Amino acid sequence: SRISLFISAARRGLCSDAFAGYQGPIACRIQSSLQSSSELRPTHLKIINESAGHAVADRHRAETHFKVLIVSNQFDGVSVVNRHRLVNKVLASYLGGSSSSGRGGIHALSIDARTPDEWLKEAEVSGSPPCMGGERKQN
Amino acid sequence: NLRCLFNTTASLRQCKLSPTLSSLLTSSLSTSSTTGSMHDKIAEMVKANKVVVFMKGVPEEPRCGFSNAVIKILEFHGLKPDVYSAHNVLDNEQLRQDIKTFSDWPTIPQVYFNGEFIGGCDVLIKMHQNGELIEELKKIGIKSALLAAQEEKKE
Repeated sequence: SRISLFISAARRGLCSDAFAGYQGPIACRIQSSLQSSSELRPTHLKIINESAGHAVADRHRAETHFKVLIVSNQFDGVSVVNRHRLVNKVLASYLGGSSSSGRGGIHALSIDARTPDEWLKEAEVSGSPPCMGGERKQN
Repeated sequence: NLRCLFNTTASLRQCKLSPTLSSLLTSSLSTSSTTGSMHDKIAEMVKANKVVVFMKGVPEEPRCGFSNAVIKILEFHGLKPDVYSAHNVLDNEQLRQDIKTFSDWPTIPQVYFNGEFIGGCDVLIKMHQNGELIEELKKIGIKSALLAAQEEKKE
């Protein structure tokens, strides 16, 4: 019904363009870490939760796989790998910890880092590669 | 065409994730060895070949979409598994941890050209799209198959 649509939109918050997929506490913290970073000073930011596409428990509520689109003037003249290093540094606490499933930290972070000009040229974010099943052993 | 690799509406695998007994055993074995790192060993590994990849699974059977994408991109440029070295981090928990501190890069896959860290999946995709990958391969003495194909067209 229209009312339930309005309520769910309100729950997603005023900045629904800033998120896609399940917006849990980790997504919100990632967004605020990047937004408030003085090294990055993004002009545009989108946090996309891609966990549902992977072999994780309760995937529609999981916060294990993210894609971040970040547009910033700070990327001008910076190589792709160094742009990613800048973002990795800001998000280091989310990526650290054990790499095994479920023990702190996210599993995957896909980064799309652009200058404002690059974003203007192509305002589209591609999806990430589909899951290949992960570490589940096949019998 | 790279787009088909990234079609997220492709069918999802309905699989449950559960740690296997063997992976639990492997982790306990690796922590009983040096609590320090295997950085020295990794330093040798990245120089052992012009192109070295740390991935989940093997080129014939990647266990991760991002690792698979890297293998496929290398293949587009004419690099088959017999030409590069691939290391499966799922076989070695110590390697899986230490490769991240070695390169100061938090995720797998990781690609090295002549011992130099190039990037992960996203970086390789970007470099493939903007032509940088062809240039980087040229620098290490590898002629990309895409370049050869372009030149053939011109003739």
